Amino acid sequence: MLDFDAFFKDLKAGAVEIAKKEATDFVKEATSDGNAFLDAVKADLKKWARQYAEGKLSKEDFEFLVKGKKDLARMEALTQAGLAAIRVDRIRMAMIDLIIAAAGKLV
Amino acid sequence: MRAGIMDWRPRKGVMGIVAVVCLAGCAAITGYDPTSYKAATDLKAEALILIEKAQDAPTQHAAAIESLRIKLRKALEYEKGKGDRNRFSRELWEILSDPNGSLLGGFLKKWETENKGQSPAFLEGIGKNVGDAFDRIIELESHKVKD
Repeated sequence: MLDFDAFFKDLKAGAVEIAKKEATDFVKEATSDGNAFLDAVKADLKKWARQYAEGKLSKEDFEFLVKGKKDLARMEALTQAGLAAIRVDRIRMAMIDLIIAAAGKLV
Repeated sequence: MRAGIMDWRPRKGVMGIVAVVCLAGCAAITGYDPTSYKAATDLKAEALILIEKAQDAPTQHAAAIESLRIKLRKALEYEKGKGDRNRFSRELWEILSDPNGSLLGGFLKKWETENKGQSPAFLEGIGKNVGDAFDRIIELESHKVKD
């Protein structure tokens, strides 16, 4: 009934695609974090599949929750891209401090 | 000769100042904003409380639904106003609040469209998803460089 492998393959491809778009230089790290994210949501997906089979979740509700995980995968990729940009800014700040320190020696 | 040395020192200093100004103006992402952080944490709590009440019909919580929707819109507009360097945070808010998506914006639309209370299993699941979505926004904001 449920093809988890296909779902994870689809989800993983989406996460990688966004990571490439948003932060090409950091795609390796973003993919690794994306895989960690997928491992973390597996338990939820299995639980919902069981609740669906037991009739506790309607088909529409089940699909809504699964689509929510896809939205979360996009958010995870964006967060990782943002965190990479923050790391770039921290390097930039360190360079500013270095330049200011060097300029101070000229005075 | 002495005048030449005097000329050289200010030029290097000017170059340093120019370099600092260029670096300061080339930030990859906006810095930490306590207003954004507070909006995310406040709205997370408000959203999760409302989701817990969604076993009722939406008509019983019409004012709370509208209030949350307005606050979401205000938060999104605030993030948009920071410009392109804030695009990661802006896009996170857009996904969270999209009425055609499957997180908070989509949930509010679904609840109102169906016009009935939602099942406990669904509310537990959507609460988890929405909580995780807010955590992404909060995580990014809290890691930004503080002035």
